[in-house]
Amino acid sequence: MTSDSGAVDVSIQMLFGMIAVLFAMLLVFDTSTYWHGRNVYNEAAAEGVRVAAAFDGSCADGIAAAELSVRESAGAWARDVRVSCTDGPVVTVTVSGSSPGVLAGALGFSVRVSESAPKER
Amino acid sequence: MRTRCGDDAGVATPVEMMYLLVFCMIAVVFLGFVGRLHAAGLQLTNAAQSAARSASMAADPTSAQIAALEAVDVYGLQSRCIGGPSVVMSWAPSPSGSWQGGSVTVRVSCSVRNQSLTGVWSPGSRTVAVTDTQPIDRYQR
Repeated sequence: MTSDSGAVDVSIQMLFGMIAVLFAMLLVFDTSTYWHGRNVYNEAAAEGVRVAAAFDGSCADGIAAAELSVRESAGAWARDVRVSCTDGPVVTVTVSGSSPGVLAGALGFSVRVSESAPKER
Repeated sequence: MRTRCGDDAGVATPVEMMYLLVFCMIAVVFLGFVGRLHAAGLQLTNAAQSAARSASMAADPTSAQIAALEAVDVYGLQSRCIGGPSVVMSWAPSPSGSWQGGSVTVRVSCSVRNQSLTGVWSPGSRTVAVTDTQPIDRYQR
């Protein structure tokens, strides 16, 4: 009788323990995909700002280049991708979107990256 | 006589789970460190490329140095690097010995505190350095 109740205690501990361990492992997975997604968006923003800041470049060209970069690198998982650009002596391209992951869908991990460069004159 | 199972009384498994949880937390911190380090590298790569490109379009080495510094300023590295970023410009002349037609190299380096990379207390700092070379515009006057 005593040993049975001990087994139930352990089972309950295992239940909560497994939930915590699974959550932690999914967090590790989501962390790695978050940083991967951020790097992809960062590369796209850098590519976009290079094109937009060129002497004969424009914000429209920069946005198109950034969107193409995201499509080529992350077409399968990139969601809600928005690219914006501000013109001027310093050109800034901002790329935002969602990172892939298991928890990310529910918690809504989003990524926002900006890159700037001086406009060529 | 007591068996081994009787000794641990079912405590061993939850303790092992705690080790696993601690390992997962360390993995999250480590992934954050690597991610931020890579992001810093990307930003410095873009800064070095932009600085070398700006310098390559200048009319002479003096104005190229100023253009490179101005280009790096845009990236806001002053607040992120310990003591600000270091920008070193060098150039190689063309076969005829002139500025036009040569190449310009810009090296941007930045020391970052490990604490700002990991997000938790950690000692020391890490220096990230990136070099970029661009051909000097032949037609710029």
